[in-house]
Amino acid sequence: MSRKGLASFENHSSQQTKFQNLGQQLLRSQHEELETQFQVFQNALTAFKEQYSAEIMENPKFRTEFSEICISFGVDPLIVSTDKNKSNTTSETDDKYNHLAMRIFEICQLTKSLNGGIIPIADMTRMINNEAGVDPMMSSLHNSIKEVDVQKAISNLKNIGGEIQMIKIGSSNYIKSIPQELNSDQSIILATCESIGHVSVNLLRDNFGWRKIRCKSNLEELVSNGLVWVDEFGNEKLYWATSWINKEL
Amino acid sequence: MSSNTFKYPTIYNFPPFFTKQPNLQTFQIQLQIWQDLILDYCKFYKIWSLSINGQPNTTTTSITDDDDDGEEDVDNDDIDIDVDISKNSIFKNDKIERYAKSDFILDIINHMIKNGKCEWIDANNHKFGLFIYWYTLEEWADKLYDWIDNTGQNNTVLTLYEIRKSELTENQEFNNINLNLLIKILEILVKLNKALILKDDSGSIVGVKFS
Repeated sequence: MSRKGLASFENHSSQQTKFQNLGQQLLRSQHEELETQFQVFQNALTAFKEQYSAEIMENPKFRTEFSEICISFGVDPLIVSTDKNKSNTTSETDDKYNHLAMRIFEICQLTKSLNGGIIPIADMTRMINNEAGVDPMMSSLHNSIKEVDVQKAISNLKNIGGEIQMIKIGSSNYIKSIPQELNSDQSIILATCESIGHVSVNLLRDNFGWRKIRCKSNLEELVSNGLVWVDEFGNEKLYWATSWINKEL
Repeated sequence: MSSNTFKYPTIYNFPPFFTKQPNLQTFQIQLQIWQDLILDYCKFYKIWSLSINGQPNTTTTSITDDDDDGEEDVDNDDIDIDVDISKNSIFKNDKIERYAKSDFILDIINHMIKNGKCEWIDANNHKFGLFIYWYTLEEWADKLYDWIDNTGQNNTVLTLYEIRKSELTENQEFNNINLNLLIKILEILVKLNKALILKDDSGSIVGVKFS
């Protein structure tokens, strides 16, 4: 670049400023445009929700997909669940449980590949209390969520995603967010895992008198559903409950 | 627990974490957790490079350390080419008596390479280990250049020693950076016309001029 005299410097810097201003203007207008588009989409989504609420309530697959779209666009899918006739008078407590239910739904989604879609209600409660401090929507609930709150919120959730429900395995309560049901063998296996951490084919055979094939096929199904993890270290394969992932040793 | 000890996530004490999971979906999340763990761990201890058996790598590579700084690198334990899990390996947890097998370790490494989170120091010779990118090379280049810019050192010549080990960079994240990693970062800045690497007659790097 040829530079002659001081004037060229001034010229250069004023051009620079102009370019910067132009760039900022462009960015700003892009930002505004996106914001408008986003708003439009949110409104459309809300309108859609109102129009098709009956169908959304009826069809579980549709409902799940719709809830996912809603969540990614910051629309509360639960408003649809509150009875339409009284929707304008949604009380503060309903709000609280709706937010809670949404968090439960999200945590179930986020942790599904880790735990196969079954999570101890105690873990869920702890996770929500831990993060309530950072989520402004939940700040009033920080450290005050009890398991009964989670249970109540889940009964609200039934209205949008019937897949999420409470189940009892052994003596503990769990939240299940997958459609598959556990057979009684699998419940026994998970309950045993829960108390001692892991089971093995031999352990099941010795303690429950099951034949080897029965132990194996149930364990394999639990593995393929992501509900237990395999530990190949000693002589015998051990199968561990995912709820032990969060245990402090 | 004191704050200068790395706090492992609870899953590190979950024995199956060290076994390659047969369920593909579980395996994917397992790889992701391993990747995050390795990055957090290396960032915490400022480990620039890991050997293939998961130990902090203090050896220098085939590129000779031609820095004229008279530094005392804490080398030079010979690294076994076989994945031999010994002490201080992130892939081994004595508390629960578990370690990851070599094929699983390679899966983790390949997953990280695919995500741009690490790289073989020498693609033809894995015994030199890996660079671990808790920041990407581009992010490092930005950090280095920002420091130059913010301290008004544009157009000055710095030795690699000054960048890595001197008081100047004491508070910078790249203080003590691995030499070869620094060279890779400088090469990025050269491509962006933000730096010029100065070499002597024998081709050794004598300094860098930033612009």
